[in-house]
Amino acid sequence: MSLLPGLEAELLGAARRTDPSSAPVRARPPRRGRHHRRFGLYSVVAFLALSGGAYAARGLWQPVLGNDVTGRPAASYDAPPREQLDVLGVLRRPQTDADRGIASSAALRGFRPADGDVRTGWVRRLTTLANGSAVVLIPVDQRRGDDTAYAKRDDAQLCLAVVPTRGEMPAPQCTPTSGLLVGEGLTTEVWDPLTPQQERDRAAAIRRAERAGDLPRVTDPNASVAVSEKVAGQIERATYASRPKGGPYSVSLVPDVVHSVRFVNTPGQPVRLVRDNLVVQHARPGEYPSMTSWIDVNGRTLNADGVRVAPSAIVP
Amino acid sequence: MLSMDLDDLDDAELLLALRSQPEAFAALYRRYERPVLAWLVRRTGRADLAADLTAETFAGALESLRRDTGPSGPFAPWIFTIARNKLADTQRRGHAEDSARRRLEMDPVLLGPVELSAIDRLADDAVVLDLVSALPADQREAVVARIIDEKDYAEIAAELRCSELVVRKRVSRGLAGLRLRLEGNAS
Repeated sequence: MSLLPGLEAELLGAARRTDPSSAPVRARPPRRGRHHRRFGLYSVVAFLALSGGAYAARGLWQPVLGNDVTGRPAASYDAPPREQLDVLGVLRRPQTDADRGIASSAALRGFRPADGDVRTGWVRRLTTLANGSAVVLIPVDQRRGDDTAYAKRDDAQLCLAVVPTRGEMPAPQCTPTSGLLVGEGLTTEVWDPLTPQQERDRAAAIRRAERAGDLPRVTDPNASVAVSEKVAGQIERATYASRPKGGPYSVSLVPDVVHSVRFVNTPGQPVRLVRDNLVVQHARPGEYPSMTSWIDVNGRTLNADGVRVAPSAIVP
Repeated sequence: MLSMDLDDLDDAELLLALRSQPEAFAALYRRYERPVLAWLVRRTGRADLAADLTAETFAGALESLRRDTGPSGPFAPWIFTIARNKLADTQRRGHAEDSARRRLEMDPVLLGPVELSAIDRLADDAVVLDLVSALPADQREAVVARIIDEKDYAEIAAELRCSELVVRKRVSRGLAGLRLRLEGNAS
């Protein structure tokens, strides 16, 4: 299997166009200049052009889901359940080109089958953080492989994926709808991407610690494991990262009723406005803005001191 | 001939087949993609640059083959010579060229976090596989069977005609030796 199947396809196309045994040779239409020169993000743009074409032709966005390494989740074309649409305006608005853009495609290529069947028509790009990471909402209609009590009684999940500017994409954070309805929201922490040197230092630190037997292992059955990782004892993938110097971003998905959020255990208890059902707080190093109070448009605190919000306060 | 059959041909046969079957070049690419990528990522330390240079290397190779200026000998050293020249060009210019790809009207290719991570690991794997090949034969067999081929201990024991305990000891000693050597490499 090729590591870069797209390159194989491009080379095959070039070989066909230059095949001396097949005349006449059909040239490609003119390209738009040197902007397509680079790999990486520009290449994602090219990929998206294809995706957009498929969308226009068939009326459905059909992005590439998953990858050959971690598997390919299924697409779901069913709308999210009414209880999600009722409380999340971002799901009620039409999907835009930005929602189907680079970040969302990258997020979906990192999505695993165990995360659920992707409601591709309701994927939303929510924001871009100051460090360049994009936050993408991915609704799924089934969370396979998850045996939590929530998942057993509520298989409509909402996942937040964070697409960093470099390095590996962390696993998406998911919550069942019921979690949103009782005032828990869906929060994920986003750290600045590690530099290549930090990545190497982290790998070395993990190996040292594992040899000394003083680090727990985190099992991730979907992790792809290289030979070097197996030899280094990382068959069960270690996910505890040495953190970059900057503090984390706290990124939370909240229902429509929440107009702003107060970060209770952060000095000064800052209040941040909600946009597109998302609220972001960039913490300083050492701060962990985990506790929040939800505030409605009238300034009323909905869940003071971490008390859950009654569903009647959330569902219109 | 079906493209599936092409993978069974040797390099020289593929070069001949390329005159009438474009798919032969895809087969050559599949065969040499990982070695070239691994070679480049070990020298550049950057997965994105290694992928860029790999694309330009194979595009350059295709151009040469179409001009009938392909290898006079085996394909493998020839493709690595192209890769080495592309790398030297890049180091001289400060950026990777894309002239061969532009002439061939090739579009850029999706390269996301998953691909970058897989390319990065090639560098590590290449080092580890070199070290594996230097292990004593009994340990090498056991490590390859268990760690690379992911066979059960019972299966390996049957193949090697020894007890599972012996296989486990060989794997354990082999891994310990590899880790020591890796540490030596790192320092």
